[in-house]
Amino acid sequence: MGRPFVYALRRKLATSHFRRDWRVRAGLASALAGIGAGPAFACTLCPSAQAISIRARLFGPDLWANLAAVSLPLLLLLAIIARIAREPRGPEGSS
Amino acid sequence: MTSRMRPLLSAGLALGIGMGSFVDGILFHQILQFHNMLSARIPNTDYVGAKVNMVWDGFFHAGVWTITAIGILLLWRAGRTAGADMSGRLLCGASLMGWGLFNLIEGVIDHHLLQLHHVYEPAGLSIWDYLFLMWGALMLFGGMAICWRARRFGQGSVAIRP
Repeated sequence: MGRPFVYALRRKLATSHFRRDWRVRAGLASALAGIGAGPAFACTLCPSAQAISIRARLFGPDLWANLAAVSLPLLLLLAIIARIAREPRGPEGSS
Repeated sequence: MTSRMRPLLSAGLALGIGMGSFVDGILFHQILQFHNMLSARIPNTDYVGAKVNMVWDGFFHAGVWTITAIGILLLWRAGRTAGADMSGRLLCGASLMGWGLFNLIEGVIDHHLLQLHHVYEPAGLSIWDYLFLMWGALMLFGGMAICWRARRFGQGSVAIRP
């Protein structure tokens, strides 16, 4: 992709037809996005009434205990991988 | 274990742990919905409980994604290690060992010791949890046997540093 391509792109962007077309398309796309996203409230953790209950349950006093419990087996497995991956110090034959 | 097996063995273990964890998460948590990460502590029978469990499932998946990424890095490193055993048999055996290890460690800690969840949650601690452990043990020993054969019978492909 050299300079001729950049010049051609600039010329294309500069034409009034393209600019008008681009604005119409952008307007239509934003209008459609606005209509689609309005009533859906897809992120149930963001604005809904239930979100308050979910956040309260999630960030309750047992948050750190739950996090530790979920992480424990994964950390143990990581430690096993690290133990095997690490080259032993000094010369090693078969062990 | 010889030092030339170590790079691919560790990579296969990490990949097996990652793939086994994804089978658990995708099949049992999401498709069959037998349990979720904390379904024995926070029942997933109502909307709030299901959503909270979904968040903890996400943390679990983030962790196993990291282990899988480490496996890919270790595999790349094994390929660049001069003299490393790169046989397919060793990679298969190590991956099977990793999956079995995941079932055993996750099963013992999460299902039996901490009781975070059980394989079939409506039944609580049941025969399914013991079958899960047995399945893990079979894969671990099967993988060990395959690795042992890779060491005993085949030299395998050997990585050559360019």
